[in-house]
Amino acid sequence: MNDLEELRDALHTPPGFTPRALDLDAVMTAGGRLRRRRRLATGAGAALAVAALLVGGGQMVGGGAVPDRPGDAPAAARPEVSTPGRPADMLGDPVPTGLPAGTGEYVLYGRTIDDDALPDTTFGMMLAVRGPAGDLTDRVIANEVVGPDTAPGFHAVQGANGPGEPTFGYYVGPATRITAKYSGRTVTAKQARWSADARVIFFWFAPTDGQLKMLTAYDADGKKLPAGHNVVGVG
Amino acid sequence: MARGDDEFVAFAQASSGRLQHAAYLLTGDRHDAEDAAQSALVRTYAAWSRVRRRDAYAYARTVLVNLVIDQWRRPVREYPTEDLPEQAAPRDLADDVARRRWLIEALDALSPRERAVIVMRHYLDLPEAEVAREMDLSVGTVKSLNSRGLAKLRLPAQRDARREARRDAETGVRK
Repeated sequence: MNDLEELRDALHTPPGFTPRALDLDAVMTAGGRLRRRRRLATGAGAALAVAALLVGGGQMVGGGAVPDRPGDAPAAARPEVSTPGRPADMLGDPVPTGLPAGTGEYVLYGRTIDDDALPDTTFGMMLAVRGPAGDLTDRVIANEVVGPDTAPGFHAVQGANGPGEPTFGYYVGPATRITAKYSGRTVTAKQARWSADARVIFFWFAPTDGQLKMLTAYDADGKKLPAGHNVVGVG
Repeated sequence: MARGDDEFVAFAQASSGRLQHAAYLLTGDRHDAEDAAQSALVRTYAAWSRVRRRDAYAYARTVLVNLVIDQWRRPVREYPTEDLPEQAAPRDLADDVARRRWLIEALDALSPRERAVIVMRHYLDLPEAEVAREMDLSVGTVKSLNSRGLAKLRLPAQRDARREARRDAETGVRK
């Protein structure tokens, strides 16, 4: 090859196969589920979604015929439901992040997920605000939606839905350091082992103005660990 | 079906072929390409309320490239060889089959980042600044990866540099 235009022609030559007609019903069902997990607990409408997912999820999600309507998505509404004391479906202990949220603090806690549409997912991770009186106000829940929730690697990585919110998720494996790239710099997460399952490490990054990329986990010897689902979701 | 869903279906039908083609150039594997395109559309649908009024294709394309690049970052992967396939000039090729085979083998000889830059610059036709933004690299690194990739493909980078300069002049970009 001796000419740039010929490279471009070659790149634009149709591939030697007919692109598969993708299953758009499956795409919309999975996309709707992904959106649903992101917006759970982000407002009154979302509180209903939580109830629907956790109580009647078999009907709402398992049916799969009616994906969420994009126009229905709440615009980053703040939560209106707070829980005094420990939520019934909390797993393990809440992990304080040290990050301020108004007069309170962001905490992370594990929460039971029982959804027929997600047979390999048993728990999710809730970002909540603990108020001065100790009450918890849920913000966003994230959970694995593809494959087993305790497979080695990153899971349920959730970007900030508003200013001041951290990027958070969990890692399964012997990670001692978790990093990401932001504006060309490497930033390091804080992390804590989950009291309900020692294989699981909760991590969170200090808030940034933009999305983090290239999440990477390292073991004690500085060796890279399996990535898993390390793409940051936002919604 | 909601109106937004109708719009998404129309968008997906119109763009899935191009997304699969881009993914195929990035991965060299048809099935990986189909999976990547499908995953990109899943994420695009999840964000549809935000992206439908903007450039939905740009969003899907960014997700696609990031998905493929993240796949490359996983620990088990094959590193590209420095040995290029036997070079053949496309103008001498008898048909598209040989051209496609040469192209994929040539792209396989590039590093993952070189390959991504070559595909984004010369198939997706993105300017260097946008490639840099999508790959979270500096413009200088993108230039360097592009030059190195073109050199491995035995193409002069100067011609591409002139093309980029013309584009910048036309769009008023200053660097």
